[in-house]
Parts: sequence; C-alpha cells; structure tokens
Amino acid sequence: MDRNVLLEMRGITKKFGESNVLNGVDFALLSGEVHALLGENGAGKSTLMKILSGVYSLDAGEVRVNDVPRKRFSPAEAMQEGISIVYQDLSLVPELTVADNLFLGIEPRSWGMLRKERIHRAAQGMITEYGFPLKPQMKVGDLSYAQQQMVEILKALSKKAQILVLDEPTASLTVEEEETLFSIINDLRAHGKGIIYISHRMDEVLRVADRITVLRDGINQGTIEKDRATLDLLIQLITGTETTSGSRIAKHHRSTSGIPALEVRELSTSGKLRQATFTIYEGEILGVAGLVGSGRTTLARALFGLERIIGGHIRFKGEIYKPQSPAQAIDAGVALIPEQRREQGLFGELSIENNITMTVLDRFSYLGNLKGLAFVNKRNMLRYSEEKVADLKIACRNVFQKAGELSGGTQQKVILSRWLSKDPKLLIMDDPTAGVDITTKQEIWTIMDNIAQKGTSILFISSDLKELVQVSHRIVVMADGAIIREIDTQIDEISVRRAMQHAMVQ
Amino acid sequence: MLRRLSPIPDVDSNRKQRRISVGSLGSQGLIYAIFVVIIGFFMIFAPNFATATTFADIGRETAVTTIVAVGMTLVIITAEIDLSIGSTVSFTGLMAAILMQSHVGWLPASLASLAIGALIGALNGFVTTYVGVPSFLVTLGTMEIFGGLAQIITGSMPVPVDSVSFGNIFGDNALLGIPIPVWWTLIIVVLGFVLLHRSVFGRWIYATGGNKTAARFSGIQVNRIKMYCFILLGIFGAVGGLILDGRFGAGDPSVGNGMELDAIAATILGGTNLFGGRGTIVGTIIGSIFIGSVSVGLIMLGAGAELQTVVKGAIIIGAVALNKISDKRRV
Repeated sequence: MDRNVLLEMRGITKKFGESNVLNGVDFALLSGEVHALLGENGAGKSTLMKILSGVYSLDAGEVRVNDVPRKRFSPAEAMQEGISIVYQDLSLVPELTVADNLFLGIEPRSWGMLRKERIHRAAQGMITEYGFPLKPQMKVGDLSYAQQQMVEILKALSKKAQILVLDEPTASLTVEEEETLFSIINDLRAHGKGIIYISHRMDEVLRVADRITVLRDGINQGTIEKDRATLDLLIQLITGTETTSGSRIAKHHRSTSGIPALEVRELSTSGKLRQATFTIYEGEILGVAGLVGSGRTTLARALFGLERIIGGHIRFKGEIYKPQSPAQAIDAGVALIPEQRREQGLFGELSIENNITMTVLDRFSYLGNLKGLAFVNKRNMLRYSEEKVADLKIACRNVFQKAGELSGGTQQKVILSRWLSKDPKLLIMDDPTAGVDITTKQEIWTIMDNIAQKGTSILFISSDLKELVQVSHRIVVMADGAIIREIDTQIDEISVRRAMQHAMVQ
Repeated sequence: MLRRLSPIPDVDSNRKQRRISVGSLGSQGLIYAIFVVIIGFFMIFAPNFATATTFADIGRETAVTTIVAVGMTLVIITAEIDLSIGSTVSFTGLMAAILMQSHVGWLPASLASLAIGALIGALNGFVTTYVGVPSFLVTLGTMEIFGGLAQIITGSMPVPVDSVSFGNIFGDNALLGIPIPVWWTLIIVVLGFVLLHRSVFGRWIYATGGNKTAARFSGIQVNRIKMYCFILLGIFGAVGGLILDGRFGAGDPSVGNGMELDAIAATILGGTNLFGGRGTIVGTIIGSIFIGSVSVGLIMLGAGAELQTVVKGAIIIGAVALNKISDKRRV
C-alpha cells in the first residue's frame, strides 16, 4: 500500500505562563501506521494531543494534515480534518443502543421522524466491515468495557476519521480483550488509518507500534523504528540518563529500627488485592511502586478499613488488626492521606482551622472526652491551628480562610497537618505529591523524613519513581493486585522501572 | 511569596474574618437588605405595623416555623431534606391530644409525643442512610403516611385539649410579657445554636454535608450524624405540635400542612446551602422572621390568605435569585 503522510507537526511549542510545556516537538504520522507516544506524566503528551485535536492553539510551529497547513484551531476543525480521539473514559450514552450511539447527533431522519431501520442498517454495515463482536440493537450499558471501546472506535470511524488517537486504550481491559484490541488495531492499519497510540506499558508499545516517539520535559527525545527499539533504550529515553545520586534530601540509610510495625500476610480483598505480603518496620518509609490499577490504592484502602478483607491477616504493633471502618483504623493509630485530595480529603467549604482540627476535636472540649456532645473551646482550637499553620508553613491569609481557596500543595499540607495531629503510628500516603509544586513536594519529603525518624512508619505510594527512590528506605512493586518484587538493596529508578515493566511482560 | 507575608495570621484580621464566619452575614447581606426594605415598606403603608403588639404577633406566628426550621437547618446542612416534618407536627400534636383525652397526664402525653417525633425522625434517617433511599423520597413517603394516619385516626376532626396545666406550659399566655411560644422558640434556637456552632457534633454536621467521603475518611460516622439530625428535627417537630395544641386548644390533623415548605424556605433564605455543608442558625432565624413579617404585614394591609401565598412565593424566589446574581458578580 502506498504510504502517504497523514499528519505532520513541526516545531510545536506551547507555553503556559512561564513554562515551556512543549519545546519544538516534531511528530509525523503515515497512513497505515501505528505511532506510539511515550513519556511520563507531565512530559507533554496530552498537551500535544490537545493541540492536535484543536483544544489548544500553539505558540510556534506548524500542523499539516494531509499536506494542508492548519490555520484555525478548534475541535470542530480538527474533526473535519478527520482527527478523532478515543479517551480512557468513554463518552457514550449507556441507555441507548449501539446503533443510536453511533449516529448520535447525526441521525438520519425524514420529515422530522427518526429513520430507525436506516440507522440499524448503517450500523450493521460498519460492524460487519470491521468484524467487531457487536450487534446494532445491543444496549451500550450492558456491554463490557472493551465492547464499549469498540463502539467508540466505530463512532470515530463513522465520522470519517483518518487519524485515531488511542489514549491508554488497554488500561481497563483484560488480557483477552487486549488481544482483540490489537487485532482491531491491525485491521485499522490495513484500512490505511493512522493511529497514535499513547500508553505507559512499554511491552505492548513494542508489540503494536511501527514507530515510537518519546517525550520528556516537552522535548522529543527521539523517534525510533520498531526494529531498533528495546525496553532498555526506551527506559533510558523516558527517564534521561542522569543518575539518581543527586538526591535532594539526605536519605538516612541507617537501617530502620528492625522492629516490625505492620506485618501483612497474604492479604486478599474482594476487590483487587491478591495475597499481598510485606512488613513495615518502625520508623521506615516503605515505597509502593505500581501503575494506576495495580492494586496500590486498594492496598491503602484495605489497611484503612475501606475494603472487605477475604483472606490473609495483618498484625499491627504485634496485635491482630482487621479494620472494618476508617473510624476503627484511626483508633488503632492509622492515618490515610487519600489519593483524591479534593474529593476524599478536603472540606473545601470549611476553614483551615476546621480542616486541621477535624480528627482531634475532643482535645479542645470543655467537658473532656464526651465525644460528640463536648463543647469546643474556640480559643484553644484557634491557638492550636495557628501553631500548625506556622509549623507546616501553610500559606494562607489566616486560619479562617476556606480550605477550598488554597492551592493544591497547600491543601495537601492542611490534610497532612490534620493527620499529623493524630500522631499516627502508621501513615498511609496515596500519591500525596501528585499535582503539588516542587517546593511543597520537598517540604512534604522533609516532614515524612522527620516523623519517620520519630518512629512513625509510612506506606508511601507514588507514581513518581524519582521521588519514590529518593524518599523510601525500601520499595515494593505492585502489579495486577499482587506484590511482585521487593527492592531493598539497589534502590534506583531503573531497577524499579524494569521490575514494573517485566511484571507486565509475564 | 505569600508564605513570607504572614505565616502566623495577625489578630486583627482574625477578628474581622470571624465576625463574618459566625453569622455568614457576608454573602447574605443582600437578602437582609431586602428584608429591611420590605419591613420599611410595611412600616410606612401598614398602619400599626411598627408596634410592640405586631412584634409579639410575628413572634407567635413564626414560633413553630422557626422551631422546625432550626431542625431543618441541621438536616439540610448534612445534605439531606425532610418533607415529612409538617405531617410530623400534625401527627405528634394529635397523639398528645388523644392521649390527654384518654386521661393520660399532660406530662406523659407530651413526652410520648416527643418520643413519637423522635421515632419518625429515626425512621426517616434509617431508611435514608442505612437503606440508601434518597431522603427526598423517604420523607415524601412518610409525609403521606403520617399525614394520612392523622386524618384516619380522627376522622379528620380536631381533638379538643382541656388540660389547664398543658395550656399553661404550651398555651398562648405571656410570661414576663413575652408569649410562651416565643420562649419555646428561644430555648430551641439556643439549643440549636450551641449544638451547631459550639459543639463537636456541630463540626461533624458541617463535615458530613461538606464532604461525606472526607468525613468518613476522617473517622466520622456519617450515617449516625445524619440519623441524629433527623431525630432532632422530629423532636423539634413534636415541640411544635405541642405548642399548636396549646394555642388552639385542640389537636388538629391538618395543622402542620405545608409547614415543611415554610421551614425549608426560611432555612434557604437564611443562607443555608440546599446541597449541604453551609448554613447558620442565626441566618435561619432571620429567614423565618422575614417570612413571618411578610405574612403579618400583608394581613395588616388587608390581603387575603391567597394573596399572601403568592407574595411569599415571589419573595422567596426573588431574594434567593438576587443573592445568586450578586454572588456571581463578586466572583
């Protein structure tokens, strides 16, 4: 087949305020090609795709689709050029049928009446053409995620898409479903479509892609032909070759106390966790590496009484520990900094003072520990929260400011302060520095280091391998609900990343 | 940058901020201004509006609504709602009257009535939280059930109350120049204020309505908090039922009809967020007095009951809408 250039992006530069999110990126796509785009969170992948789909305009550079330079940037324009993006969270109407969804908004009608049989026939035609296991009259809500994804792909094709962007398409698929997806991708390739394939999983990228482009810090690190690409080369390009010796905080390599604080044995939950076994020692920061969906959040939730435990057991400070609610976990001395700060952690409408003191209100009561009916001594509470604000350098007008008005990093410090007030024996932190500025990140690391030295154990989940490697004493790697590797001697980014990747190849 | 400016907030700005945070008067300013304008209107055009008698009238008129609205404020701040409270007022008042008619003493009868109120609240709370039916539907159901039961039990006829002691406690007499219903209102208002603004329980109410998940993650028993709020509202409703018994000298099976809407209106006019997490007792009191003043003022102007409803409805929408618009402008 003749391969023509579908898309050419040249010297793409995009600034947000002071920072260059994209810096002179070149990217091209041929017809009948799968071109993978790799890079860490924040490397610029989604910005590049938003420019492609017309959501963002650009500061410098050029986008040519089918050799025509694009003048105006708008999503409608991009759709006319035949560009379609299939996002992870699909945009289908679950109550409607496959056929209805395919023609949503472009329904054929006559005299204002819906032509049901024409929709049905047209949908059937498309399904047959690509050989998808679907029927036009199926209700989308009853379909599996993989089938819904197919509907979404068909929907893109029905709009005459030439360029398809698949954003983390395998994130929610089972292994068999992945195989189906790969054969669909092959079909699309045979139909001459161009596919941009975004994924974290290097093994599948190596499998499906014809070419691979790696972005780091908004710069194209290289575009590699399939034959030349290896796992190690990709890891090197993604992380850069810098060594990890330049730690930003001095890590205490003293071996930890050696007294086990939390012993988890073959822990399984009804959700995702499969026989997780590990130990955290007193004063230890145990890092947990793993992709989203690896079971790392389930582990955190299970330890905080939010999951139903169906197997295994936990010992905490030597005693059997089986929390059934957060209240019980907190009573035992466990704290959780949840993954979704605004949704799960913050009381946005309440003041900083209220946010900080929420778990320790009984300390300010006039009548001792009467639980709910105790009356709050406002003066003591004010003094306490002002101390905490000063301690953690929480940037705010005053403690009466609404927590919802603060920046992400400051909000995280407020939540952290709430839990430090409890003086927990085990602090679980689920991706605590996501979306947090670098200064605050460093402050959070220092706080972690300080409380660990005072004997608190920390279970530290993070998507950012660099910080994980810097802050943790040991690291466990999770994949598919299990702990697949424990790294305690050679803690560096490359070995952690390799463990994560090899887990998926197997 | 900001951090360097003031890591420890200075005392002055605290004071200023606190004054706003207690009454939440800041964002409610406009509604209060409208309130003042309307009162001014009545003072000019309704003869005798600006007299002590009128204020006693307003106090008496709004007593039960205010009592119920205090409980409603708690429930709404937890992001729930109770439509059954009007029926609860009717039903509990009626039960007290029936018990007294069957020669049960006024005190046990009143206590039984309070217990029934608590039970209705507990039923609402239980089905809402532990079963998971939205409170709008649950309380729509209990509204019909207890409203209907009140009619069935009495054959839609009022049940006279002739206990003199009961009349002294809940009747329409004055103590120290203030009508007894107003004393009851004051007691409930103070109770509600202390609970919501001074107790640990109050913080948990705000936390529950502000962010249910975060509250749960902070170890707060969210369902229990909501239960307690429904129960308190039920008890307050029963207090209202007793007051109305005393006032009319009879238990009337339809006396509470529509009261739930007045209570909700007062709560929302007072700045409580219909979706939870925000609101104050002081605001609710003002909202309730606002509605009461409009009713009394219109009566004095000679308006009929039908016109009162129309004007009340228009003011509720107008005031809240104006507040929204000015809110948007500020942002």
